[in-house]
Amino acid sequence: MSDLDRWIEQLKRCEPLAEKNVKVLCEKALEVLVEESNVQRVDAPVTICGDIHGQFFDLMELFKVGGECPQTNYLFMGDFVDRGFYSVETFLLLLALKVRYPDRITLIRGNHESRQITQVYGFYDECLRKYGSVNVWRYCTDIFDYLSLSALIDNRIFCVHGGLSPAVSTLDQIRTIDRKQEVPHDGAMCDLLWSDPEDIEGWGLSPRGAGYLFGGDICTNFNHTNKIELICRAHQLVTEGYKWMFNDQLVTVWSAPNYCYRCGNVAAILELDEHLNKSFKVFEAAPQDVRGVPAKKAAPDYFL
Amino acid sequence: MEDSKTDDGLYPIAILIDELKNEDVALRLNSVRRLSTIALALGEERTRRELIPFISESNDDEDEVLLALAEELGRFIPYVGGPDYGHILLSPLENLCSVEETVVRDKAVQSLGAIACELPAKSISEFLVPLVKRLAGGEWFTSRISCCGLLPVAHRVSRQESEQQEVRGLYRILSQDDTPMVRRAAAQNLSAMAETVEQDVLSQEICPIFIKLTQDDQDSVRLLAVQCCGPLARTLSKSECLSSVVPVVQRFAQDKSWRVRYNVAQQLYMLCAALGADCSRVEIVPPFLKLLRDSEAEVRVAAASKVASVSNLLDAETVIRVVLPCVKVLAADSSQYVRSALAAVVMEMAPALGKAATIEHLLPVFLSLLKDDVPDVRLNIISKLDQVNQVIGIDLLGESLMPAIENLADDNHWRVRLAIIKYIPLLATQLGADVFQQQLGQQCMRWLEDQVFCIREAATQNLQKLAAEFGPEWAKEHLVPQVLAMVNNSHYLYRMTILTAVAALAPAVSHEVLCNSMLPVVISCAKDKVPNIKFTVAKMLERLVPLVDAAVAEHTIKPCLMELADDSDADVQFFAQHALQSCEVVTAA
Amino acid sequence: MASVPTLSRGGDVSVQGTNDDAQISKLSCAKLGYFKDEFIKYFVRRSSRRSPLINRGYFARVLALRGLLEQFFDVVSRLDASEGRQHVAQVLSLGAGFDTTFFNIEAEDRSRARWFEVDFKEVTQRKAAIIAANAPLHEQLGPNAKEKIHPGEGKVQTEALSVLPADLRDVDGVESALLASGFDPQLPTYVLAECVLVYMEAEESTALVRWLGKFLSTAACIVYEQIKPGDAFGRQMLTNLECRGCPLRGLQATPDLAAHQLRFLKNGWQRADAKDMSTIYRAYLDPTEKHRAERLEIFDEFEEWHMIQDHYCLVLAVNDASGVLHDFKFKQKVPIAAVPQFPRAD
Repeated sequence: MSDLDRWIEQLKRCEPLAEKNVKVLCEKALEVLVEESNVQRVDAPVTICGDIHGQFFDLMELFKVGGECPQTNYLFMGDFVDRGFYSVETFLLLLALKVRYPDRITLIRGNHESRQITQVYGFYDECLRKYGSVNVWRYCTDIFDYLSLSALIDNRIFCVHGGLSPAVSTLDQIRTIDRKQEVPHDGAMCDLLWSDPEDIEGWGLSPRGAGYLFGGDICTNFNHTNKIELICRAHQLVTEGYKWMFNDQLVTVWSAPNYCYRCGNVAAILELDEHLNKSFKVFEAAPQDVRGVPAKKAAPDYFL
Repeated sequence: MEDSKTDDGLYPIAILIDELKNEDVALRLNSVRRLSTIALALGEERTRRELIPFISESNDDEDEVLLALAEELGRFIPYVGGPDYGHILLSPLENLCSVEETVVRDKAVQSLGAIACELPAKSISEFLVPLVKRLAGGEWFTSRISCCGLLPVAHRVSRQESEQQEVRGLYRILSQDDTPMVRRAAAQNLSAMAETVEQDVLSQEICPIFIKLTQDDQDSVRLLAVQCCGPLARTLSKSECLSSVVPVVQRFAQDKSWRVRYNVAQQLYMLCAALGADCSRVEIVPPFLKLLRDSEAEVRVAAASKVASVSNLLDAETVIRVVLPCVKVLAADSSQYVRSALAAVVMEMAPALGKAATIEHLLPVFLSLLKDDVPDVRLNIISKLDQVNQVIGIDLLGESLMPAIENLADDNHWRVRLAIIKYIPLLATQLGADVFQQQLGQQCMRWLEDQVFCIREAATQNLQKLAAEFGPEWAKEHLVPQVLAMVNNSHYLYRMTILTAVAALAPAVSHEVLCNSMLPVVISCAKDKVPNIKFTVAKMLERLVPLVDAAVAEHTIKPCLMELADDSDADVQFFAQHALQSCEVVTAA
Repeated sequence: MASVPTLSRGGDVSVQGTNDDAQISKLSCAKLGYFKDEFIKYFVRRSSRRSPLINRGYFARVLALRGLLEQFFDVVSRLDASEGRQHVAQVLSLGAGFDTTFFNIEAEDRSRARWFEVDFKEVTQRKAAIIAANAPLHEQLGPNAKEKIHPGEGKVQTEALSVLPADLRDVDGVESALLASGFDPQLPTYVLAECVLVYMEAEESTALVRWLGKFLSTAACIVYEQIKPGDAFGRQMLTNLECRGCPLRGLQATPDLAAHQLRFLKNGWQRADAKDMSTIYRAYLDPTEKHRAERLEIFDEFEEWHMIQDHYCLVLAVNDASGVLHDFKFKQKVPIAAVPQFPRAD
């Protein structure tokens, strides 16, 4: 058994890797990711997943429903880390799978794969807590810079974490972005990771302070221009797990059930077979006995 | 482990001590965890003279550091020079007994208890008893709470009657403390106290304290006092139990606080055990029935979850006459938690009832819970199916269960479907091949096309068990053709399941079926367009190699794997090469 | 899947623990500049940075409650100070925990009221000890205040502030403790219950509301607590808080705004209004303050923000024998904007 296979086994038990192994893993991952395009080509069949946010045991639940990697092909649309209790194990497992089976799993970048956001939303603190130093956080955030920005399945389905950008009308424009950097505060790269669809005409200001709101007309134009039939994105909690918009030209997929252990929502993944037939698999959070006893301090926050 | 040993040896002791004072919590914690190493390096004398006093001062740290400290000190006697010097450790632990964080205090009390058990008699009188007194007189309620936890140990280890009397005196005082939390701690330790005293002291001194605590105006104190009913009943004589515990229980069953009633509900079966069936029928069953019909769902949950253990301590006639009617009502309770609790235990009543009564009264309850809206309730019932078999036999069970199982086989919740699949082999054994095939054969095939991966996987394992149970001929007729027919599914994940199912069935069919029917199908899948199918073929072929003749391996399997090893997909190559390697090993052997 | 409810042994203790949690969150806010609170640090043993959503939620709560309190002071100060009394009003804070509002208001020299805080003895003991141990706190209580602080009894008894140990489930006990420390039921009183009633059994909190209604002839009662137990978020909230050992026992009895109003109206109060915190945040907070706070941290949890704010409410009830409180009510600051359509929970 290779080191990599051993690490995958270890991570599947939700045991974090030793710091020195994280370093090696990230070096290997860099070699794989640096070769990928900003619009990574992906072949069907593939199962598309939305935000995971460090909910490791719910990711295990996802694999129980969708099948294990590499038997099932996966495309994860970012936001692997932050909010949940197991960002380290979650991201490293996905990354190890990526290194071991680069053709079977695709990871694209979400707005939480960023140095700035992870310092506010938990991944930084978790690394510090689990390793006593922030080296692992550094290795991981350096790798974030190499994650692709989007994916294109069989030239027909465009996958991105957030949405569209007023600075981008063709896929080629995305291909020319120099992505190997921290997510900027504005511009095309930022928008792809931050924007949201909204029932408006044209573009609108986003309440998030980054990215834009885009309406159905924008979506129609983009799909038409680029000869694609569907935009598949994540980024927003939808309590039923998935949500169609704009006459089925766009779908939001959300894969973190009971988000933050607080929202009570179900999650979904979108299974595409080799003929691009779609089927959504909806699933719930892992039951308490599967998840193990949560630490006392780890209880979700409310206003008390 | 070995690494850390050499590490420790080389680790300069000064650094460890420095780390005890470090800014960084993680380092302090680490250093506390290695306290015994520091002590070993310092030697017993310096540990007593320098380390322990130093530690006694570091009381104002993060809770997790204090917790680790409290734990380490509990096993520190060897490092200070043995039990004769054990009293040295009392002082730092005494400090920890008064901190605010409960977890730290509890650990300190636990460690003090461990040390107390090793102390020589002299140290008990000279150090432990005074310590207990100081804690009892502490201004802060925290130290008085800790004291309550320590008193049972102190009582047990004291050798002198006068000291023991003193300890019991402190306990009596604390049980009437002004602060409810202290009285709560006293109530919490009542059972432990009861265990350390002689029978006469128990009835003369402890029982009155118990009675008093049960009348406390704080329901949280009463609540904890209730929990002593069971343990006390076990220790007291039956007549004393009847005179002092039973009235309390009967009163508590009507307490205005539902939390008190909840705790009573959990205690009752212990009283039944102590009192015996006849006495229980008169004294305990009436309050128990009342709790089963309580207005609060939580209380009904607690009572329902004890319905089997109480019933099993009673005679069948009483159970049928008075308990069963309540059970029937609970099965239709408006709270899912009540139904779920009932579902988890209801079948355990069967032995007490016997076959006829079980069939007449329990089976309908059972079947209605099996159709419950809430998956948890259904799951609880399914997990107890085998117990029912034992009592009523499979014929009847099969007959009444089959419609329910057919329903649950398509349950919306995949965990319910999974539970049913896992139960299928047992059912198969008992139903026999013909009945099984007729009733459940098709369902077993349908599971192979379930939406959820985990169900498909369980379904393939299920087929393997069925084939093993009913034999190769049966499998050849009822499983193999049906499975092979599904290999042309248009969705790769479902084709993959079929390949897995074929490999699972392979060991249970004849060589002829394997080579002539199954193997060609697997080989044909090597031409699939989807790489995942191709590498699954490689993996499955690897499993088939040991089952076939060398010639088949050589002429049929190997060429296919060689072709796959040249595939353009890296994973197909990898798994094909891997399979080829094990091919070599097997054929060489 | 839901699990069978578990009961924590020390239910009261866990509920008291919610006090520590709230203080940590308020300190987190204060440190990040959401609001000013120089005193909260004395009450927190271990500080911890909270997520932006929690910070923003506490900010909204503190700002809204502070606004109502100031409005109350404004209304009663018009009453007239000519009678020469130092205080024209009282504040009664139920289950006050380590709340620092008194110190903050006092430090700004704006308090026109005598303060009475009531909580479990275990809490008031700690509060009294902390006040005694920290000069910046007891200096707010006037000269020789330290002599009037009794940590062992869990009591603070000064002219400006009384901290009293009592169990709110025992209204007679509360009443006698208040009267013994100089509480005047005739004075206009601002009653505050922040995340308190909801932990009590419905009968117990109703008894408290009824007693207050009878006891105080001129009073406003402000309640801040959870609502909506019925949807997915609400069910999860119930489960999570139950796991923490502090179940929201009263929530089923007051599941929505109407039920909250009704609880007051049926128990001796003249009028009552209730709004969820989403509404309060959108239209009833000072827009400048809100705008300032919204720029303090990156905020990427909008869907959840709307959900959680929908599950908290403010209730404002008034008993007004003398007509003084005629104008005391929720004051809208900006028009209610259209609700964002997409990220709603229900």
